[in-house]
Amino acid sequence: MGQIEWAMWANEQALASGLILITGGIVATAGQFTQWYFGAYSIAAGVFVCLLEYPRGKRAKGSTMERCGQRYMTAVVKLFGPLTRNYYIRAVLHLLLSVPAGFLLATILGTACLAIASGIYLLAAVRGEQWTPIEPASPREGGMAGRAHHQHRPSNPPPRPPAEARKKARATAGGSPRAAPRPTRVPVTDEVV
Amino acid sequence: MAVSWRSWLANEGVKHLCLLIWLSLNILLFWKTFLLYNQGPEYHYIHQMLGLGLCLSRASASVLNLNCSLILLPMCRTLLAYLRGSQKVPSRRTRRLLDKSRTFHITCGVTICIFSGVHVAAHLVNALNFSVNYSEDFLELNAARYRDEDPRRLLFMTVPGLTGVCMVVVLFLMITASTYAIRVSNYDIFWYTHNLFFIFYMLLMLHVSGDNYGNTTDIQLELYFIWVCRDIQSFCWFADLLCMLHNKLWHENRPDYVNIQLYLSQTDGIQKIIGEKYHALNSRLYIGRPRWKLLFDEIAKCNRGKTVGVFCCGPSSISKTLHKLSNQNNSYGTRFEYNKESFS
Repeated sequence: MGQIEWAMWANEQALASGLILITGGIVATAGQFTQWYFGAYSIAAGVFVCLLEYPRGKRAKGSTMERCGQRYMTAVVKLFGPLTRNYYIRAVLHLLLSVPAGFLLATILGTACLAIASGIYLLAAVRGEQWTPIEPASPREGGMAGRAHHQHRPSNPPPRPPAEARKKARATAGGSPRAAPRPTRVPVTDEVV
Repeated sequence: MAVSWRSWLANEGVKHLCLLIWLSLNILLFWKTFLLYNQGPEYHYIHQMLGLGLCLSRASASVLNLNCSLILLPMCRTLLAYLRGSQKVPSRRTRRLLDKSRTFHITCGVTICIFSGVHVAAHLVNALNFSVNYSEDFLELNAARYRDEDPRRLLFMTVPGLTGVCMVVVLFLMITASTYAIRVSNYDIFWYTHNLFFIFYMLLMLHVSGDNYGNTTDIQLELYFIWVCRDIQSFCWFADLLCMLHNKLWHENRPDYVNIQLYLSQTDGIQKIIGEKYHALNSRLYIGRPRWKLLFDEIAKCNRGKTVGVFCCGPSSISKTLHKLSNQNNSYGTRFEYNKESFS
């Protein structure tokens, strides 16, 4: 549990909450229910939250997957410096944003989800995490900063088949057995699913 | 490069076939449930109150039911390993299909998300409509207790409402922790939140048990009011009341609710109930005694297979006739329950 980066999960939650707020807001304003202006607020708040949360922060360890086209919003979010870097501020901001939407039935779920995201951001802030922008990749890595997990080439060869199979292979090959497979020059990317 | 249809069939065919079957099941279920609530006579009055919201919420509920049942199956790893390793699954094709179990799980999960959204939106609109369309006449049907009752009370103070809200929260936590980025970077979060599925299913059991959308078979009664008198003046006692009742039902578009038949047992000359305002009763006035057997047959035909209550208030001669007829067999499967009271 000590290795978990809560901010990343809070970020996913906040983004989802933003979308829920937008949907609820559309239902409220389109249905012209009473107090529909809360619905209009909900749409605006949802859009703001989505824009703020779209650029994913950089992980402390390892590489981070960028969201598609996030570098434009990264540039904007970076401008606000400590306001957007600090997760305490984000937690409070999300909590405040969620309150007005709680007055309307159509948007109350958005409130609940954004409040939960705010709580997780608070947890992340307490654990000292902060938002770091993902900088564009240097040319050496071919611009694929987020994708490849560069690992050192393994020093040991891959495991060999059991002894009997090796003997059989030797017998059928007839010549001297191959040495351990040559190390490859292609960097290993491991897709963890 | 062109795709070889044989390779495609071998690699993708069975998978797509299963997907097609699953998709058809979902569409069929949605459509059938939608039609049931849109057109079923037993849901007529509640449909008037809630409209499209009722149909959408129920149809999406049945799709959710199906997918929540299916989604756990592909995750029974022991079962899958057993099937894969045994002689029961001989063909390579089937084994390759089992490899797609996780994809199927995700497909069901996404469907649950989408239809949960539809279901919640429809029920929120229903809650608002229950409150706005509150009417004294349909107290048993309406989940609201008074007009303009705060729909948030309906949401948080009823069993289905509260369990529904909790389920949405649990689903939100599970979904946001299941994205590819989270699984890759923080597998723990994904693992621990996904184990909340147990709580989700407990809440689901409670949610469906608190079904508060009753059907309206009770309200769809038809009342046959048959009154036999010797002379015309006797009807004037209750003429006002009967006319008022008739008008009220006429205005509420339920003219068939009460079927009034007045019989004049003394057949000397044609008599009419005096007064313009009793026009509704004049057209329902019959000379002579009622032909009970024909009446019973007609009522039996219009209420096949149902139970009809017969309430007799009168002299014993009528009572004996009605009692006998109530016990007799009819070709429509209708049952007549006989009740008698007398004030003389």
